[in-house]
Amino acid sequence: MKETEKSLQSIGQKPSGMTKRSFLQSVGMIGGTAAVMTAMQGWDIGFASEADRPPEMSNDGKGKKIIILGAGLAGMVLAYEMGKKGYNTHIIEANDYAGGRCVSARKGSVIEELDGEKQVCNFREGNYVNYGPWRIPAEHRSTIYYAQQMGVPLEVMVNKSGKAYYYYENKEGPFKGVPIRQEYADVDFAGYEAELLAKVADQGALDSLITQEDKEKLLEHLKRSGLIDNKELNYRANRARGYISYPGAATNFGKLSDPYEMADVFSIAQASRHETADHPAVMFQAVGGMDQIALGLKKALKKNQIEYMSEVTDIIQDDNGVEITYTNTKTGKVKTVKGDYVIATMPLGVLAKINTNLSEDFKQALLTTRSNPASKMGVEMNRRFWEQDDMIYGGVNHTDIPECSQLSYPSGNLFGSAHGDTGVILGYYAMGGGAVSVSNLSIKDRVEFAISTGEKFHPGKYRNHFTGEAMCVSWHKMKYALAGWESWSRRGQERAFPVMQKGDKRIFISGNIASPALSGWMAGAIEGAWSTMEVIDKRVAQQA
Amino acid sequence: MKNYFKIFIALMGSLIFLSTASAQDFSEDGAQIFTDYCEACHQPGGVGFEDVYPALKGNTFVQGDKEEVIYLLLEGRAGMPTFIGDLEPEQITTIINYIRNSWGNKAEEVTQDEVDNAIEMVSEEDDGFGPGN
Repeated sequence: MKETEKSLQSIGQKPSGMTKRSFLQSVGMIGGTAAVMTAMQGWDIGFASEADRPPEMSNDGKGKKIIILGAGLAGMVLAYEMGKKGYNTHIIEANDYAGGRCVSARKGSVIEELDGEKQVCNFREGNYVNYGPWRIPAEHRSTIYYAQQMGVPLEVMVNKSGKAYYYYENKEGPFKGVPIRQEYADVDFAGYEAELLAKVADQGALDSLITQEDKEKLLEHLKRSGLIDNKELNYRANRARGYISYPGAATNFGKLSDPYEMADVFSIAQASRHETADHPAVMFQAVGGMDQIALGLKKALKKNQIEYMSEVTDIIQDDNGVEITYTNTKTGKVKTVKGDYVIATMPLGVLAKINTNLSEDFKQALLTTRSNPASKMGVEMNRRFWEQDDMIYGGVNHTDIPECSQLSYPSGNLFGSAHGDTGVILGYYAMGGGAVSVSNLSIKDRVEFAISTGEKFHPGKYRNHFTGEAMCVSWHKMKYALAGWESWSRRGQERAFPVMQKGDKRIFISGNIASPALSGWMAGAIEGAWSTMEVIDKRVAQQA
Repeated sequence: MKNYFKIFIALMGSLIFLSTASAQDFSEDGAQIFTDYCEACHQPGGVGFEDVYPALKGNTFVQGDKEEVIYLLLEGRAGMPTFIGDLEPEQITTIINYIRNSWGNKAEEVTQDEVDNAIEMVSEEDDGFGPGN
């Protein structure tokens, strides 16, 4: 018998003859939240967050023409969802592809930054680098929703591997310039914390803070953590930290690795990233490249629903509609199109260059956002030495080198089982000032920087196994992005965001910028689009 | 904690030295900061990049209201990042004075106190987990 049925019987209720909702209410009254949860799980209802699917719009779009600027995730979600609701949607896109910043570089991909240095990708078949978004937390149900809707398979992206490294070269101490396995640093730190806490608790130093009973529970918990010995309460070699020589058959019992000295451990700079709700150890990625999510959305749209290579120059509205003027970047031909509403999803730094008759208040509101520079580099290797030699399967190295604060090993094609003994390492991912300074370098110098940084972790191998093929981007130097992502300052969020959110008559702003708490995430673009379509839908309903 | 720390240092600095004369020697340090953090977009000589990234040379905004320029560096603006996490308070003062007084630009110098006060205004609570995405 299922657990749920048992629990239902035990509280003497059956679902028949009641609506699910009223039944759940009665279960809740009798059994509390836990009983409701058990009952819901039995029905496979689950606990969806607020934003796990597009909003139910009240209105049918009545053929209202919506011009969407930008065929990134937000633009395509708007076109797709509003199209389904009877709006007539059309996307104008400046690039010659759909997806905006949701892109992956693979054989044949082209990246060209503002100063004109052009890269053409020559990775081997199957290899790619996500030079836009690269990881999806389970919390981002909206992103997962579209992957599933579009039939794009997701796989695990290993965001935290204990075998990956911390590396600090700007901090004095015994580990300066030495890569340290994250599991050594993390476990040693936790071990010494446990030791110190257990000892002060044992000596009575916590007696004014907790009861005797709680103190005993705490001590029991610390002793059972495996990190400290039960009698002396000392942190010592343990199976969490692992082995210097792993056990095997017969009399090979292995040898545990010795912890670093306490003072040395405390000298290690704290990890630049702990696991958080949006950066858990296990995350997800689209199989074959994150751009598959964008391509899935593109396929779901009608042919010709996206007009490419169209650079918008003017957005002018009046009481009757809004007129967009744009230039075909290939032919130079100038066109205009009229709509009932326009939704601009391009980054605001790009929008700021466009001639508009937005109100002055609205224009000022848009200026209070900030652009976040981001730079990434994929370097192709002809052997998965990090797996074979160092047991690193995915994960992210954290460093204090601003131009390479993160370096990540690929989570796809593990063991080379999908397409051979080769792979692309995310050679650097830099944000903020580090992203800017690496973007000062020529492509050749950036590659050299990436390889010489990788050599710090894998001396003699990183350069040796580099195929010579690399692809990099500095998003603030991409003409139609001008930033990795945009976000609101605290003041902007308070003063300007509410102005932007309402739109200016017939002109609306959407995308990542419409989700201040999710800036830079695909979920921010998607949920921003969802919130904008709700605002417009209500507006149209009022006018009807 | 980084921001709190910066504020603390900034406050200590202003207490100890009261208002020491603002750096007269911002040109050398300023040039280096410009190369590292500004040039990728605003280009050598501050001439800007086409109509994408504005020229700082001859720019009226840059030479205008001091407070606006300080907040621009601290908060960012459409198309421009914040530098609050990348530059120390003294470096922010230096780079502002550098761009306001280079390539023929001429404007009143900003003081460390003005920058420190603004930093205190805009500092966001740092929960210690670092930036995202």
